[in-house]
Amino acid sequence: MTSLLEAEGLSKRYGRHRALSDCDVSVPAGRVAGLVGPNGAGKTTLLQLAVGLLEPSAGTIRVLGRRPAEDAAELARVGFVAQETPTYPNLTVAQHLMMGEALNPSWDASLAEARVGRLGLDVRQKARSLSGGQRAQLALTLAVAKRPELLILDEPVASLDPLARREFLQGLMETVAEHHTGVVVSSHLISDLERVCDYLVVLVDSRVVLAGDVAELLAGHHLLTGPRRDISGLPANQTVIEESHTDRQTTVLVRGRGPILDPAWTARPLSLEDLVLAYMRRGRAGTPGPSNRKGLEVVA
Amino acid sequence: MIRFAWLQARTQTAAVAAGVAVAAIVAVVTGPHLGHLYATTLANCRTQQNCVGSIDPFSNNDYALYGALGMLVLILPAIVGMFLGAPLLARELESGTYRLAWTQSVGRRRWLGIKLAVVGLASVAVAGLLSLAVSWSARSIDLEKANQFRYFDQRDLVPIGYAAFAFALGVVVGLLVRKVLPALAATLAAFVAVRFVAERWVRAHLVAATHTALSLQQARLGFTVQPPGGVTFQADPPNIQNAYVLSAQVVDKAGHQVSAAALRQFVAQYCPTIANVPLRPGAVFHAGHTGIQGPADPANPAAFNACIDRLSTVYHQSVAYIAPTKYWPMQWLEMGLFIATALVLAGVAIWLVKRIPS
Repeated sequence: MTSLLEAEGLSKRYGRHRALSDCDVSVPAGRVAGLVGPNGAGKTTLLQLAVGLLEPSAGTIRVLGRRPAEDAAELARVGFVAQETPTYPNLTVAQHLMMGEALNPSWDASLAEARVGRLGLDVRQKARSLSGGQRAQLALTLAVAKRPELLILDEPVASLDPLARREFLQGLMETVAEHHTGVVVSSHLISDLERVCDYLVVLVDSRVVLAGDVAELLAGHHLLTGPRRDISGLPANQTVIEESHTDRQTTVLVRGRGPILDPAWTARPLSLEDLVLAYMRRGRAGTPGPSNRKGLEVVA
Repeated sequence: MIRFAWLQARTQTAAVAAGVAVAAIVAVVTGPHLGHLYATTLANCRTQQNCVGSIDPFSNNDYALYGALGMLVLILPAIVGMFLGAPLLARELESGTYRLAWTQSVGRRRWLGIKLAVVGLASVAVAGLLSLAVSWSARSIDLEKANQFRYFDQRDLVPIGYAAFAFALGVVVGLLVRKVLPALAATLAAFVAVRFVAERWVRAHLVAATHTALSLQQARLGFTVQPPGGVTFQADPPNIQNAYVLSAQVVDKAGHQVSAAALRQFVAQYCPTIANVPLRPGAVFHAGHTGIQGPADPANPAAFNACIDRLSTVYHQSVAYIAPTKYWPMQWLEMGLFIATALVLAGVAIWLVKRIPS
């Protein structure tokens, strides 16, 4: 099966500002992929490239095996909910559904109406008077009712309260389960995504610092604690992601498949949030300094 | 898609259309009455030989409506450009809804093409309706005035071309500026500039001009004092009914334009009685072959007429004008020019929309 999203050397710059740098990422088919990273990391840029709202400065991106927004057929295969879930303030809910029907040949009117009914939205209400959560749900309904093969959602829950967040993600998961839609959803909070995603991409400072199956990532990382010591004695198949020392204790986050046999270490699994935060810190720390970066730009 | 394009545009379009409908009704209702008033006023003043006095009351009251309706036709295209054209894309880009619109299953170019067609046709229809109503309403006064080119851009076909152009211009400006309010202002400025250029430097070249030579004895002329230097002679453009006079120059037998200095010298040499008249600088004394019109002149009118006779043996007036029969060809051509420009701009917008924003 073709990947949901496949990027090679993908870069996007605005003048001298790099929004996305040399990004290689592949999201396999049938996944619900979370795209996590701090604000300004390039998540929106990557997703807008994926729906064809932006054109790459360099590299390629394929969505469901084709160039994004290449033609109407490709547009129909991807449903998109943009950041801040834009809707037309002057149009009613019913008029938004009419737009969906007019602009999408594969529109599933009964699905849209059922969804709006279930959410308790008044179809005569104008979008400007909807709450943030209702607007997000309306935007999701528009994206879902075109019956896409892939849903791309850009921080859909960022402006929602915790309850609305939960409801939104629940609705998303129901849709995924029912229609076997692939999903790429971004958030700056891993807690939003860990319940729904089975694949994870972490972006920091315009670069991909981690990507993989969530279960594999969790199985492949351990937090080792032991008496303070030098960490050079760790097996070669363990990569140190992060280390910290106190007066008496050393803590190391390692990535690797093999067992840790040294009894001085206590190995613990770690939560997805801790894992992602460690990679975010590393991505930040690993960012080349200003002089270094300038040199790189000249080469590029 | 057509239905949705209309759904999005209908609020502004309906507001503009409602305003136009009111104006059109006013025009149609008042037109015949105004025309009648004007005709009777004129007829009265002609019999009483006092047109200045009897036209004034008409001018001060009812005539304002005639002028206002014409002005409305003149500014409607700018309104169309600002309120239907400019926001078409600028609002989507400013509020971020383009991200919703351009990720539906309709290509961006097709999406824009349909919107342009729907709102553009509505713009043209609105402008056409108002122009039709006002042209019909003003018809009897226009005929009476016998100066059809004076209201060229407020009547008949050209307002349709202006509206189409202003609309397309607004769309392109909105696409480039990407903010509604600056786009409104920029559209207005660009539209006024283009209309000015077209009126000033293009219109006269749309149809072939007629050239004719007028004897100075038939011309509207006068004597004037221009400091420094003495009395000189000037010829106003002739008043040709329903024609558009492009230029009127005093030329010699070879057809070369005569300089003011040469004329002054001529007057000084051959009309000494006039040259020595103590006129206030800037004062103009209009003379006709039958006598002096305007302020009473201290000198003998016969002296002026003799001077004109003398002048006309050497010089004549060369006049270039657009003949009255060229009115309709010119209307069609100017409308066509603006519609063609509108289509080019629409093409530019459709081409650009795929490249912006990125």
